[in-house]
Amino acid sequence: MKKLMALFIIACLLITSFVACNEGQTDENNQNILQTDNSESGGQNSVNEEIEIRLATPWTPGAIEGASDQIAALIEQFEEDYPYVTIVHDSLSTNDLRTKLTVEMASGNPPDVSWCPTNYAREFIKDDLIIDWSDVINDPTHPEFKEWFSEATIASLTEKDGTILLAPQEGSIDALYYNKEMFEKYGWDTPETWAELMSLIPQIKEAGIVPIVTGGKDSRFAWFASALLVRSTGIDNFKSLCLGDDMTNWNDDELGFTDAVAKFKELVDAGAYPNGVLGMSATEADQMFGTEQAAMYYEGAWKPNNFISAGGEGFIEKVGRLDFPEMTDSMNGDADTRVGGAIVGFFVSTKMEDTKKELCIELVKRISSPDFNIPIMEKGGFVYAGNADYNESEISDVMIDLIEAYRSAKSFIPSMDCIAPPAVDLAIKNSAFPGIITGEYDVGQAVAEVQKAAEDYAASLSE
Amino acid sequence: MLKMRKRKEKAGGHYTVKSRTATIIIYTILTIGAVIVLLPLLWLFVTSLKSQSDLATNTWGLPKEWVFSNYIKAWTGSQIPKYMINSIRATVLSIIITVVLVTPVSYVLARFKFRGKGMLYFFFIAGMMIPIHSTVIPIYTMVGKLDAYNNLEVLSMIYGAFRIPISIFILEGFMSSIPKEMEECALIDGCKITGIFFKIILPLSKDGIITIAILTVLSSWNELLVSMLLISDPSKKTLPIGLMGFITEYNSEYTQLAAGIMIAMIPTIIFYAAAQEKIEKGMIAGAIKG
Repeated sequence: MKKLMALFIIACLLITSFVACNEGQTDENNQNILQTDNSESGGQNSVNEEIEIRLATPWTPGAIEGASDQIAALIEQFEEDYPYVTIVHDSLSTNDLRTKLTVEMASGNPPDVSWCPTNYAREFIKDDLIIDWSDVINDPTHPEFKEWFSEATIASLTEKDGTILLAPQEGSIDALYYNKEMFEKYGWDTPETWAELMSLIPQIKEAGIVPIVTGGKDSRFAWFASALLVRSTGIDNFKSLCLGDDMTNWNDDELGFTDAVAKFKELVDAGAYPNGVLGMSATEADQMFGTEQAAMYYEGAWKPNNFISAGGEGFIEKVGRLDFPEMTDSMNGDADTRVGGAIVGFFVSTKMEDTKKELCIELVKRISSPDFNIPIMEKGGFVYAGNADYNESEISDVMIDLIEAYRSAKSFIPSMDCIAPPAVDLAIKNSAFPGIITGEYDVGQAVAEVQKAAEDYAASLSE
Repeated sequence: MLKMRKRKEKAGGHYTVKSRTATIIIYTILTIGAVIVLLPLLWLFVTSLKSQSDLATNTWGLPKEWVFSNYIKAWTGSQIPKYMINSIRATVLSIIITVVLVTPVSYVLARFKFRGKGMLYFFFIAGMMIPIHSTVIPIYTMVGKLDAYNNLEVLSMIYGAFRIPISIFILEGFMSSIPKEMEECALIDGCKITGIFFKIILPLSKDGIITIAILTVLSSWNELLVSMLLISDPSKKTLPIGLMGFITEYNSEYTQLAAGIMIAMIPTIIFYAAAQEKIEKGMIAGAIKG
């Protein structure tokens, strides 16, 4: 046993020493190559210094088919075009990346270029940690952004004062996914209005199938809350509640939130959700939909690959997309706005010199380009926020529906977690909606819970 | 009528009482315990050999088709070999740091009498109450000021530092249980303190040292948060970061993740199997002082 232990430890030490030495040599070699290239390329970098760019993305090898290879190829090409530049690519899952960004920003050491959700960017830009993209997008020397992206996409990243939070890249769009085969089999009509949805629910239940599923344990109510609110009250009142003068008026009946919560209670009371939905993770919800135990699933455009994982390759052909039903009884309701937009994008840190900043902008431009994104979209990875031709024969029908829904959207409203103050978002998805499901709250109590969070948030701003 | 057969055996100075019923009950409980422990491992292994759709429709059953390519994809697609070497590096270094720092401190606390000893002991073990998560921002800032991101040695130092309190707690108790008479004999024979430490205390404490080493292995090998924050360079990342990459909101490759976890478990299982006897001894040896 002693010998075995000794051998194991010695082997570990030898391997680590070998790797360390090898890495040291490689670093040295790279340095020499870079120095040689610098002298040859001369004018490309006036200060003749190596530049390291730290790039953070969510494209881990297991994340989106093809994205990892695509970003590796982009980096290789960029380093070839700019031999004095080294890109350190930090790829993490989206949740880990959010955590890392929070710590890095709190410590004043942001990555040079990073993927980022808009609600995080909104905080970072206030502290002048990331650049305002309006300076780039409105600059005639960078015409590509306005060529690639629609006004609706750019508008979804633009703040009231004209600040553009991020460079667009991925588009998000909501979907009431439904099982087409199941609907055909039972002769159910797809719901276009809230009343039709409510009359459909008992029919689905009668067939022994769960009408709507969601990952209640993972608080997947932010998108649903946005859909309910925009259909109840329209985009202007929505924005006014989240970002404007009505930030502390969530309990004002005229602004529609009470109506949105009442509609949610109506759905819950009709038995739309399965028993124990609050204990169900998003993955379990995927499995329930993928194994055809549920008829509908309200989620975002990133779900198709999860459906393939949950239900197999054939299942995705059974999935269709619907817009969230119109609420014909809501006077101010907006039936054309879709939940989504460019709710994530890429930032460039302000903490660098101009030469490096220009290189980072160029790098983001390549990441935002159709050349980079269309091949990933054709593999079903995500919806590209830009407009460019793609090969429809390569993509599932539901993915085509999602892309076209994104491109034809007249306007977008972000999901609640990307637009509402964090405290309000948490009050909605962690207290108000779960409280309605458990029966702990009636509509008035649920609204009061959100109102209190909004008032506390407003008070914290004035302190 | 239950026939009880009691037998007293004198074996090595210990008396044992045996009855067939008691033996059956004990073995039944132990078997249930073993099944409870092994079932998740078995499920993980079976999952690692399924296709994604098979996992969705046949979560608990045996694979309809055995998909060995999950291991190949996990091994080649996510740089697991590189991450594994980095994890081994960080873990071995953290063991060395922990053992080198903790053994002399534990010896001093176990054997020497001086003013403030109790306070010093509690100062060290109070560290057990500080969760690593509460210190991430100060650690991140401090490492940044030293310009030491992407450095596995620095990561190992942090791991080692967080193992010091519990290691001192274990080893101090262990060293206190070593009979003082042995050191007194050595002193009479002219041995100095350093000699006593290296020639008597360390060899007699090997079970305790292996215990703290194993506990360090387990915590360092599985640590994600600090490693994720301090390491951005893909060539320096550790295994848990690589495994987390299989699960994102875009897609979740559970079968490849299971294969990756199976691969990742191999070193810790080998290490535990090799040192099992010492760990068990080490865990109980410090329980009784004097």
